[in-house]
Amino acid sequence: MASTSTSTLSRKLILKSSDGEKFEVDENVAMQSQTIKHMIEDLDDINSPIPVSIVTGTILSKVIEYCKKHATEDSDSDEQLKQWDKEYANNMDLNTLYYLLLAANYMEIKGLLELITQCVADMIKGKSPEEIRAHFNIKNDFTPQEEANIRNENPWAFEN
Amino acid sequence: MASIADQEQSNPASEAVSMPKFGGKQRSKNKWRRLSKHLSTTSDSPINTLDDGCLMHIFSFLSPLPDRYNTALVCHRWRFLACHPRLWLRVDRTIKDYSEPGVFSCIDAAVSAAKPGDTILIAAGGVHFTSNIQIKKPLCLRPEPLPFPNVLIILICALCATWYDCVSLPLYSHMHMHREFGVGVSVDV
Repeated sequence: MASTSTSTLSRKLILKSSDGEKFEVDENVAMQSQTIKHMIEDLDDINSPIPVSIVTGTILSKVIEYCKKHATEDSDSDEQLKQWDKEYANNMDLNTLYYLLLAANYMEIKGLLELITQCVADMIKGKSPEEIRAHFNIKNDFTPQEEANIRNENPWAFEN
Repeated sequence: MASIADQEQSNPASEAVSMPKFGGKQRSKNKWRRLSKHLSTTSDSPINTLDDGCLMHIFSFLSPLPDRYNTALVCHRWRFLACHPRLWLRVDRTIKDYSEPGVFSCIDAAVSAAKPGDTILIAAGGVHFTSNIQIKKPLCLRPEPLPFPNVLIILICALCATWYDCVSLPLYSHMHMHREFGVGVSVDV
């Protein structure tokens, strides 16, 4: 099995995005994704492109950038890697973050998933409900009465 | 998106209510297809196109106070997910594996691990006894919901009027602790 043999570390795989873009990556980079790992195990011929059919080329290239960095993490200290993660996430706009999150969820890349969800959580932190709505462009679907009821349910939670 | 949350609320047996989480391979693929279609055809907020598991995972990084309570005031769907029992702490003596985050064998451990504003769910089917714990943060203690026989009794051996709030259980009972003091608590569920 490919995943158990150390001699296969330098093998190349080709990932194909939903819009047909092809990316050649080292096997250990692609294996960061549990989904691809399972796909490879089921494939007879790993030379043919592996379809990542629901992730676009733009997003897939960013996913691969993350996987490459984390496949070679031995060369960096934990702190350097954290710093890299932070800069990586900070360079994304909100829309890219959502698509990355969906891609990480689908491709089952735990580290990336944690990084992006933490990043979105940080955007929520310290904001009032109104500020959160404005930041994420969310429509308030509460009636004023409903909103008042919720505040009354847990008045202690909102007294500060 | 609110309609989804409403639907789920009206159907407690639905999968999303019982255990929304990152799905298995097959399910997440289907879900993604649906979502990606939704993303391209809707002008809704993109964050609300994330599935319940993703959103709840994001909420799990937030402190209950004030952030999770603030998210609960954003819209119906966020309220439903931010208040979901999956984000609560749980005291259950019958569980063998305590490596799962948020599950504790005794009330003391749950209380000390809880963040201000957390809800602690006391599992049914046993007597939980603890004494001399100090609670210096606002917490909700709730008995596990029916169908189990459902009595939560908290005996207080220290003078603090706010403890009496929790006698008026079940749903949104809470204790709001301002001062440091020792209390004896016996919870019988």
